[in-house]
Amino acid sequence: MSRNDQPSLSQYFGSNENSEDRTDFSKEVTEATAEIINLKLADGKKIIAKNEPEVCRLFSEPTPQARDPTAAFFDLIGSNQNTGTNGIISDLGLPTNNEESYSSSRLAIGSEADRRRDAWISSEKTRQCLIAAATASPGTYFPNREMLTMPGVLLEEELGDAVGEAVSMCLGEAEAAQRRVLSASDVTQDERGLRELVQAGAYRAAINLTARLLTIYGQGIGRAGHPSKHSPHSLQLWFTRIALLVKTKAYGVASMEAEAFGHLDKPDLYYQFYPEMYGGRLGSIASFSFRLLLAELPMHCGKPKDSVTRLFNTLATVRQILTNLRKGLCEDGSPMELGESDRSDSLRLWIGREVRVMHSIINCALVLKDYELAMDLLGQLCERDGAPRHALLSALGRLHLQLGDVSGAEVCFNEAAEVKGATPGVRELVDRGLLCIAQSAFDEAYTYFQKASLLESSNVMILNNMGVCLLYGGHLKEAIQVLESAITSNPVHALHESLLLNLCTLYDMESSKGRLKKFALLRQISRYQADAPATILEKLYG
Amino acid sequence: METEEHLLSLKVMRLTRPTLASPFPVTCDSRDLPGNLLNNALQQDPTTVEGTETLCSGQFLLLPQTPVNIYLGETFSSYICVYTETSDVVSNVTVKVDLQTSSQRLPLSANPPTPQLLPDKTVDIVIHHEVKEIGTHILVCEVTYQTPNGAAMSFRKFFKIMVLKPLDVKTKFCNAENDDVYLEAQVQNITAGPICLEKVALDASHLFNVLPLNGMPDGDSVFGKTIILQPQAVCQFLYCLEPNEKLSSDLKLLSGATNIGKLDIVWRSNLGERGRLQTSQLQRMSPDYGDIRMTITELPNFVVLEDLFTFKCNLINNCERTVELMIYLENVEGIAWCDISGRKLEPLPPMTQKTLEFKCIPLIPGLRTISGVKLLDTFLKRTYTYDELGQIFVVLNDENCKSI
Repeated sequence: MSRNDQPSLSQYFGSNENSEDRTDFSKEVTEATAEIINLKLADGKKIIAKNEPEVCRLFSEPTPQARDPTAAFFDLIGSNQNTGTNGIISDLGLPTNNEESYSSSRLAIGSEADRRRDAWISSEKTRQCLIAAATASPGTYFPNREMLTMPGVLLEEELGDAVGEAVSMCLGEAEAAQRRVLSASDVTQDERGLRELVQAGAYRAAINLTARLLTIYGQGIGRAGHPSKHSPHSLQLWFTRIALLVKTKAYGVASMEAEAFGHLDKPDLYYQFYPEMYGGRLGSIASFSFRLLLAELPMHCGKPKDSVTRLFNTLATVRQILTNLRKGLCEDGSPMELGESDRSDSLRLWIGREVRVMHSIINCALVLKDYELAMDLLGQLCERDGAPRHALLSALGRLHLQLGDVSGAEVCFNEAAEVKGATPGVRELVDRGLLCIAQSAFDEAYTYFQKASLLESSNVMILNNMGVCLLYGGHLKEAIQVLESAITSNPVHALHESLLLNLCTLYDMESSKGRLKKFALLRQISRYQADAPATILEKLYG
Repeated sequence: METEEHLLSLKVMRLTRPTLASPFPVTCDSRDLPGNLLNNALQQDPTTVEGTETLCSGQFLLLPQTPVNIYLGETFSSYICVYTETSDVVSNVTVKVDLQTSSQRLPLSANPPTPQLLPDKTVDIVIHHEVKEIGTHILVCEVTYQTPNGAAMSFRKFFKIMVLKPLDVKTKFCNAENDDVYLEAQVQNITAGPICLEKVALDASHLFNVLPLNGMPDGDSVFGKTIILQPQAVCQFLYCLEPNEKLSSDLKLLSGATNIGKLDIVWRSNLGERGRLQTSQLQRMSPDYGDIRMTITELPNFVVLEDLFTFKCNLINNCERTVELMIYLENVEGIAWCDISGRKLEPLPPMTQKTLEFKCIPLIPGLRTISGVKLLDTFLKRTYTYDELGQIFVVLNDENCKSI
């Protein structure tokens, strides 16, 4: 994706982020943690910081980059286009060697970026509370308990290695002993270790580590309902924890632990609440990603309508911020002079966020099967200037297919092909194949997938779709072969929940030896994956 | 349950449409603690579509994981797989698949026998059948084979399928004064999920010409490009049926024409799963025209206060004898008749019609109803009263009349 003035479909996958947007997260975290340790809470209790040295060490002793085991990985992702390695590393909050070189000009740019990124418009009640906090003489303002955010880890025990347990149950202890997987204790007990676990896909271990790290902030096990102070770092730990709980489908726990955060609108989640700590800094301490994640959470817990409401509320605030910027105001509506490039950067950031929230609403509408809403929003996105129309039209076509509107889907696919112009790529061929399936032409669909496979022979999705077509055509054995070949050639990606579900279904049909074949799959998962969804594991040994 | 040990086994899987799987996107900014890790994980997920990573509109086909209802008019498809449990060669394997409904037994498949089934090989059959009955269906699979020592064996397996009703169709007829018939058809989705109505058409009986009234002047459907019906939602269609000439000239025939036609409905659901239903013949209430029928044929919309106007009616003798009628014009508020009340009309032979002309003067401005016409059948001493024959709007002067 090339860098241009228009927002990319999703800023998360483009490389059009301004490098100035990324400032030293590590620095503010250092400050925050340092202050937190000396902090007295409203109820007079001291925070018990058991593991205090570990966290502090990370920030006080910069680790040379070369020793960072994940450096190679960061280099890899940093290699696309204009993102320098150095930029990425410092983004991630890892200490860099040039801490001394942060000049005052750099800080000024940093504060602009902070303002843009953290801007948020609070509710009226919270606003009043923040004004009271800012105008009271230091140390004299104590808000009501219900205005405080009091999270705590609720998961009483550490999560075990689910794959390992399944292996020892089905394949024996000897097999289980061969499994090599990172646990929370194998990494440094800090943010870097956490990233190492996430990168390895050991999400459960990473969740365990977040619980340990949150204990330092007085937000560990059993601390829910007790006041504690918040910092960018503590909220980032919570964001990571809840994001990983969602990724591992532990929705119940995620939702209960997230409850304390409400709508991320309590005054103690704004920088203004801590004037002595953050000076004049304004905005939300919780990141926008966290806000979005919490808004989406109810839909995983059977309450998609709540998510729609929360997401539309979020969208309304994002649009208010955009209106303010276009009116020449600051993001939060305060009359502050913004430089031209500052303003355009901010507009780009918030337009990107607007698009991202719209995507979330579409996803939520799909959970609700409210296809009208999903299509309406997707149609709006297609009409926006600079939108990647061919990708969006293709997605819109698939929405039509899901609903059963075959002719509508065809119109979208044709339009997408027209926009793209060049010879059909993988996406177009696969879409054509899906259209054939809607018309019950499974053989024809297979031909399209096969053509796509010639373009990307290792694409797991294409191989999977070929396998599915073979089954509908009455070729069970061949279908199994295709799916197995996908796993053999690309085990890391192909040992994916959906593909495994398909393969297990086929094994169940094929013979009474399905159980043994499933155990073989389990062995593969044990070798290549740090973690696997519980549904899959149950399917394998159930 | 089978009590005997068999060398072969049989499994059945219903082939409903696959679904499109996609990951649930969890993303973060590069400035968040996980950096790009969550985004990278999402990007590398094989169910993600490149370019629209944060949209749950995937391309990855997922086989049906939960049982899906089957509805009347849909096609029942199943995969039947027979495999051996032995390392010996089994010969002459035949698989016969029937569907037993409450009323009949339908053969779905009778493949030629497989001469030899080697270990690790299977007999694969895919059946398709459009279900045309509601209620319990039993899929009967019968496998016969010969064991290596020549013994003939057979076993049967049964699978129960409940066929549900997908749509509820309610119709309402309205016989218009001009003999057109209007049909309101309410189609309700009573399936568990949303459906897309692909086609709703009235397949009319040859006695009527159909005019669907579900479009806008520019030809687009009033429902938009796609008719999406959420569960329990209702969509209403309107049709006008004009009796053809032969029918409208013959009142007996017209009154007897109660068969209107059939509604033909095609819908689709998940990934194009298709269903088709045709209603039974729709019946309207036969209009009772009686012996004598009078309808307005010409009536102005606007008339000027205190100016004479005329209107015309068609009088039809619908019975087998010649009728003699007296006409009475009763006083109506705001309208004065300009005619003779109590006069005798010329005898009307059977099955004929004539035009009557009436003259009136409007006395009060505004919307007026024409009532008060009475016909007396002198033979049967029966009176027919025609109230609310039509309405006129009385204006003050000609100018107003024109400007309107």
